[in-house]
Amino acid sequence: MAGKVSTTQCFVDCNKFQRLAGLAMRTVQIALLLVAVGTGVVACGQSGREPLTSDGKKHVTFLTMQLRPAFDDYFLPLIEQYERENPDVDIDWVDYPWQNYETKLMTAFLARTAPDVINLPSESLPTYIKTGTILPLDDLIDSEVRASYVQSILADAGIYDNQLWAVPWYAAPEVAFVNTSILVEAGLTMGDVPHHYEDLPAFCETILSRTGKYGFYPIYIEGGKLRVFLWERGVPITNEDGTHAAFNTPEGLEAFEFWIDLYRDELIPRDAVTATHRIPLDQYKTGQLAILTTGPQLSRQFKSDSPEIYDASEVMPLPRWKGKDQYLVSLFMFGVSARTHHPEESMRFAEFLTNGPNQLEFSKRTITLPSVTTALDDPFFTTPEDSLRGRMFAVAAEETRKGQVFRPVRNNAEVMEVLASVTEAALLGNMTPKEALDDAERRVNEILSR
Amino acid sequence: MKSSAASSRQTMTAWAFLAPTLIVMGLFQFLPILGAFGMSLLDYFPDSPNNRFVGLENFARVLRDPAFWEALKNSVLYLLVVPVVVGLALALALLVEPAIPFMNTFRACYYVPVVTMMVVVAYAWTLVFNTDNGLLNQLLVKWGAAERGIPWLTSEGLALWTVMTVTVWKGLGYYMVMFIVALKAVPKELTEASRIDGANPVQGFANVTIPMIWPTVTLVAIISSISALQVFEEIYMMTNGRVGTSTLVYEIYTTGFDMSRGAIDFGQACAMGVLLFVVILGFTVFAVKRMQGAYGTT
Repeated sequence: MAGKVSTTQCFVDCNKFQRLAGLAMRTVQIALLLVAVGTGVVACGQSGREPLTSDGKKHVTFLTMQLRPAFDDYFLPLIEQYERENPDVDIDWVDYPWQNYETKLMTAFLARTAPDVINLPSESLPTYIKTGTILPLDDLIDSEVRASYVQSILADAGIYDNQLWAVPWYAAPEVAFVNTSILVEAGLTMGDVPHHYEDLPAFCETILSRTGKYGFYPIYIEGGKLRVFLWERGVPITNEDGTHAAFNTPEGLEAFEFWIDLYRDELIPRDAVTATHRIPLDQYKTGQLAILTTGPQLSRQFKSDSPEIYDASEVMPLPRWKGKDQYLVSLFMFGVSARTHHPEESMRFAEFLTNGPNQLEFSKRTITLPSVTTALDDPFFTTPEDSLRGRMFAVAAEETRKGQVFRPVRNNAEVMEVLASVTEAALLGNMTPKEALDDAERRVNEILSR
Repeated sequence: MKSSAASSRQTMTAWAFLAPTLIVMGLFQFLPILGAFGMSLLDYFPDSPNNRFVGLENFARVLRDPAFWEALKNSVLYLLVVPVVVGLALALALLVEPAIPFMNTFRACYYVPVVTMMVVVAYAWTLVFNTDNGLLNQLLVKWGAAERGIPWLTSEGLALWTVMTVTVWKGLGYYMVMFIVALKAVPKELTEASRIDGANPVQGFANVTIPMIWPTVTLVAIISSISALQVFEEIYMMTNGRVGTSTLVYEIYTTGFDMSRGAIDFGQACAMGVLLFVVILGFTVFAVKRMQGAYGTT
C-alpha cells in the first residue's frame, strides 16, 4: 500500500515538477521577450529624431516656450522662408508649455529626444552648462552676428568661463499695471500711485481701508524672489568671486524687513506666502488688485479675459527704492543641444531667429523687448503710439535700456531655494528677519563652498 | 495524458491572454522600477560622463536630510485620511444603496469628483479656501463663525489638513461604489435572520453586514492608504509643498525634476523612491495582517 501510494505520489510530484518546469521555462521566455522588446524600445528612444529627412535634408528641431498656437502666424512663415533660403535644411518646431518647461526639457534629454535649438531662460543656463547638455558657441557663431547683440546683455547672460553658451532672444522686463477704477473708488488718482517702495505701505493701507481691496501683491516664494528684493536695493547675493554670501548686511536686512513687515502688517493678501505669479494676475483680472507687476506680454490675458479691466488700466514703471534706478530684466536665449547632429545648421537657425528684423517683428507681436541694438533703436520703441499698448512698449523699452540680467550664482537653484525657505519662515513668523538672513547666510556659504 | 495536454493548452491560452498586459506592465512599470533601483546606487545625470557607482551614499544623504523626515512625517500623517474615507464612503454607500427613485442620480453626483481631473479640483478648492476672498471664509464671516478669514492654505498648522479634506472629497465616490457592490452581495436572508433573532439594525450591521463586507473594507483601506502615501497633485497645486505640506512623492519630484527648487538629483530621488516603496510595502503587509486578524478573512 505504502509502495503504491509512494508511486502515485511520485507520479503526481513528477507531473507537478514537469508543469512547474514548463511554467518556469515560459516565464523565462516571456522575461527574455520583455527584455528584448524593452531593449528595442530603449534603442529606438536613443536614436531620437533622424538626423536626415527621407529626402536627405538636414533635420533641425527648435524648441520654444508656450508660443503655440498663439504665434503660429509668426513662426510658420519664418520657417518657410528659412527653408526656402536653405533648401538643404528641414526645420521642425516643438513647443512646450511654460508650466514645468524645464522638467519636460530635462525629460527630453533623458529620453535623448531633446531638440537641437533650445529656448532657455538665462538663469537656467549654468545648469545646462554644468550637465553638458548644451554646446559652447564661440566656434559656431558668426562674429558679425555676435557683435549685433546688446553686449552687456550678452556678457551678463550668455558668457561663462569665457565661453559663449547661448545667444539672447527677447527680454521681458516687468511693468506695473494700475487699475484706475480702484483708484477712483478709493478717491485717488494716478498721481497718488507710489513710484517708490518707501511710499507703498501707505498706499496699500489707503486702498485697503477705502475699498477692501489690495493695493499690491508681491510674489515671495516663486523663483527665490528674495534675491530680487535684495538686488533692487543694490545688495548682491554673493561677493564678486561668488565664494561667500554677501547679502547679510544692514541694507539687506532693511530691504528684507520691509517686505516681511508688509506681509505681517496684512497690507497684502495673506495667501501671498504660497502664491505663484498667476494668483495676482487672477486677482487683477477680477478687479481685486490695484497694482499688478508683471511682464507686459501678460496684458494679453486680461485684455481677452477682462476687457473692462484692460480698458481701465494704466501702465507705469515698476516702483523702485529712492535713488536706485535699476531694473531687472528676464532674458530668454537660444542654446544648441550637445546631442545635435547639425551644430552648424542649428547655430545658423538660432542666428536667423534672433536677427534684428525678426526680433523686432516678434517683439511687436508679443510685447517683449529685443536684444539686438538695431531693433531696440527702431522708432517703434523710440516714438510709440499713444495707447496702453504703446505706453507699455515705451515703459518696457526704457526699463530694458536701464535693465540688467540677473547673473546666476554658483549652484543657483539651491541658493534660491534657501532664500525661498527663509523667506517663508520669516513670513510665517517662525524666524525674525535677522534670524532668517543669518540662517540663509550660513546655508548659502555651505552651498557655495561645495 | 489527454488531460495533461488539455491542461497545457489551457495554460498556454492563459499566458497568451496575459502576455499583452505583462509586456506593457513589464515595459512601463517593472523595467522602470528596476531602473530606479539601479539609479539609486548611482550619481546619475542623463548623458553625463561623470555618472558613477556610489553604493548606498544616496540613501545616506536622504536619511540625513531633514526635509525627507519632514516629508515622511507628513506622508504618515496623511494616512489619517484612510479611516475618514472608509467611514464616509461606507456611510454614503449605505445611503445610496437602496433601490429607490432618483438614487442613480445621487450616486452619479457623488461619483463626479472621481472623474474630474485633480488639477481642476485642486484649483477650484484653492479658490474656495482663499483666505481673503474664498467662498468658505466669506460664509464663515457672514454667519459669524469666524471674525475674519482663516488662512486655510497658508498656515502651517492648517494647510496639510485642508489639503487632506480635498483628497477625501475627491476619493469618496470611488470607494463608495466599491462598498455599494459589496453591500449588494450581502445575502438578504442573513440580515433578515438576524432581525428575526432579535438583533436591532445597528447590531445587524455590526455583526452581519460588516463581517460580510470586511474583504472590501480591507481592500478600500489598502488602496486608500497607498494613494495617501503617494499623494502629489493636491500638494503641488494647492500649496506647492510649502507651509509644511511637503510629502514623500512631492519631495521625490522636487529632488529629481524641479530645477527651480535646487540641483536635480536623479540618484537621490530614486533612493527616496525606493524608501517610499519600502514604506508602502511594509505598511501594506502590516495592514493586511492586522485586518485579516479582525475577522479571519480578507
